[in-house]
Amino acid sequence: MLILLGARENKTLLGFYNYVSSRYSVKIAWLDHYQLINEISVHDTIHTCGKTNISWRYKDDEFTSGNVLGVLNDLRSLESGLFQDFAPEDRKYAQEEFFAYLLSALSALPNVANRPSQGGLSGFTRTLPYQWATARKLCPSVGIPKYYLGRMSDAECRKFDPEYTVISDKLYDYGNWTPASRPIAEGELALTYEIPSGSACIASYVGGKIYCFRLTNREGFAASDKILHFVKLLAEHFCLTICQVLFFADGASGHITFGAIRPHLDIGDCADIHVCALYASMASEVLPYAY
Amino acid sequence: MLTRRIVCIGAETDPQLCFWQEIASSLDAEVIRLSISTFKTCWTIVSSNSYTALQLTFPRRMDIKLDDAATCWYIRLPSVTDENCRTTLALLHSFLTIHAFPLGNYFYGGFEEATYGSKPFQLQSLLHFVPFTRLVNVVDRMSGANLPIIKSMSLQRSTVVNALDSRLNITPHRRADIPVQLQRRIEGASAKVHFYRTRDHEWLALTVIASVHDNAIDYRESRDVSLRFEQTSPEMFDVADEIYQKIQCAFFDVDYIHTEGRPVFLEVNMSPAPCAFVTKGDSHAAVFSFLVLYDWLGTREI
Repeated sequence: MLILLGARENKTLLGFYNYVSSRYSVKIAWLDHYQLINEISVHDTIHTCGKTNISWRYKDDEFTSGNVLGVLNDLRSLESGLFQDFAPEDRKYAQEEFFAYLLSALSALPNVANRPSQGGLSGFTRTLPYQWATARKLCPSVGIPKYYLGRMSDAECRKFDPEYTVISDKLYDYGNWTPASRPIAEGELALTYEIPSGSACIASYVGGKIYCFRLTNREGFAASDKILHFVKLLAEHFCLTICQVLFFADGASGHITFGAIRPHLDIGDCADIHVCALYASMASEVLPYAY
Repeated sequence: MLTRRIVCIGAETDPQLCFWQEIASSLDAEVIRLSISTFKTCWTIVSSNSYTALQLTFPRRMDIKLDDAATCWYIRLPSVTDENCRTTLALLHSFLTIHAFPLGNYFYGGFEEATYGSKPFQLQSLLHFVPFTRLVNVVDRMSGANLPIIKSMSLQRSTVVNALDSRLNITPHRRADIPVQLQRRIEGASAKVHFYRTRDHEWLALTVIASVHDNAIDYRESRDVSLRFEQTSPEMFDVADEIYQKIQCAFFDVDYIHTEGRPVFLEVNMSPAPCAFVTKGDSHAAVFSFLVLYDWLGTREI
C-alpha cells in the first residue's frame, strides 16, 4: 500500500499518482486533510519499548505499519475550518491534538517523504529572515537579499529601491517576489526586501537529486557544483527529502543569490523534461522496493 | 557579580520567570524582564543583513543583539496567547537558535519545540521503556481498551484523567473524535528529574518524588501530596545524555514513575519550572535553581 497525503487539487500528487499507477502494481490510497480528520479510525499501539504499530481503518481498507510501503506526504497546515463541527471552545484544542497525533503517526510509518517536523506536517522551513540567516551561515559565498525586518518607517523604506522591493507583513510568503507593498500601518512589524539581480531559477530537490529550471524561459539546465552543494546543505538543514529552492543566478559574474526554500515541490515549477525524472526520484524514496 | 545579563520573556505572572529574576538579581546580574503583552509597545525585533536585535523602546531605547555573548535568553510561552504573539515569539526563537544557541546562551527548547510537544512522538523517539499505550479516536474503543488513563497528546491542555471520570470534556464529534492516548496505569511513586547541562558539560540534577495519598492519578491534581527530594540515580544521567543527544536542549525535565525497581518514562518537558518545588523548610529546589543560574550567567566563557 502506498499512501498519498494532500489536497485533491495538488497537481504534483495527481501526476505522481498517474506515474506510479501506470508503472507499478501497488495499491494507492490518497487521503486529504478532511478524510484524515473525519474518516480515519485510529487504533495504534505504542509498546513499552517505544515501538509503534499504526493501525488506521478507512472505509474497507486497513493501513498498518506492516502493509504501508511508503507515504508521499504533502499535507499543508490543518486549517481551522476543518474543525468547525467542534464546540467553539474545543476547536483550537482539536487542531493541536490532531497535529500532535499526525506528527507521531507519520513519524512511525516507513519511507515518509517529507517527514513531519516542528511547525509543519510535511516539513517546515521557518521564516524568510531565518532562511536567509541560515543560508549565509551554511554557505557564505552565496548571497542573500538585502532586507530589513522591523517597525515600518519611511526612513528604512528609503534605503531600498522601490522598483525592486517587496514590503510585506507575511514572513512565510516564500513565493512573493513581485515588487509591491502591502498596506502596513506605521510602526507595525514589516519585512522589506530587495529582489536580487540575475535570472530567477528553481532547484527541485528529491532525495539528493537536483533538477534546475530557469523561470524566465522555462528551460532546464545543469546546475553548477556550487548550487548542488548549497541546495543539499539547505535540504539537510531543514531535514527535507523533497523541496524547492528559489535562487537568482547572475550569468555574467556567476554570482548566486538565495531567495527562499519551501518544503514542497510544485510540478508547475519544473521543466517538462524533468517531470518524469522527478516522479522516478520520488518513487525511489517512497517505494524503495521498486529499485 | 555575574557579567552576563538575562532577558526573560513570558507572561507577567509566570512564577518561573519571577523566580529567575529574584535569583539573578540576588547575584547582581542585570535582569531584563519583558512581558509578552507589551510586545510592540515596549519591545520589538529588528533584523537586517548584518544585524539582529531585540529593540527596547520603553522605558529607554536600547538594542540587545541576539549574538551578544554577555546576554542569556529565557522564554516561556504562556498557554494562552494570541496568534500574533505566537508568531513573534516563534520568530524570536528561530533567530535565537541561530545567534544565541551556539554561544550556550539560549536553551533552544526555551519554549515548546512543536515536534517534542507531541507526547506520543516523545514515547516513540525520546524515551525507552514507556507505559503500554493505545492511540484511538473512536469513542467506542476508549471503553473497550481496558487502559484506564486518558491523556491529551499535545501540550495545549495538559490533562490526565481517569477514563471513568470524563472524556477530557470534549464534545463528541460525529463518528470520529479527537485522538487521545490511553495508557496502562502504573503503580508507583511519581518522579520528576530536572536536568541542567553546565557550560563544562556536566549535569546538575534535581529529583523530586511525589507521593499521592488520595488515589489521584496525577500528583498535580492531588490535594494530598507529599514531596521529597532524592539523590538522582546514576543511570538517569545516561538517560539525560541520550535525550540531550536528540534534543540539544541544556535544560529540561523528565517525568517517570518508579515501579518494580525501574523507571517507566512518561514525558520530557523542555520548559521546566523547578520553582514549583521550592517549599518552606527545604532548600533543594532553590539551591538547584541558584546553581543553574550561577553557571549559566557565569563569567568563564566570555
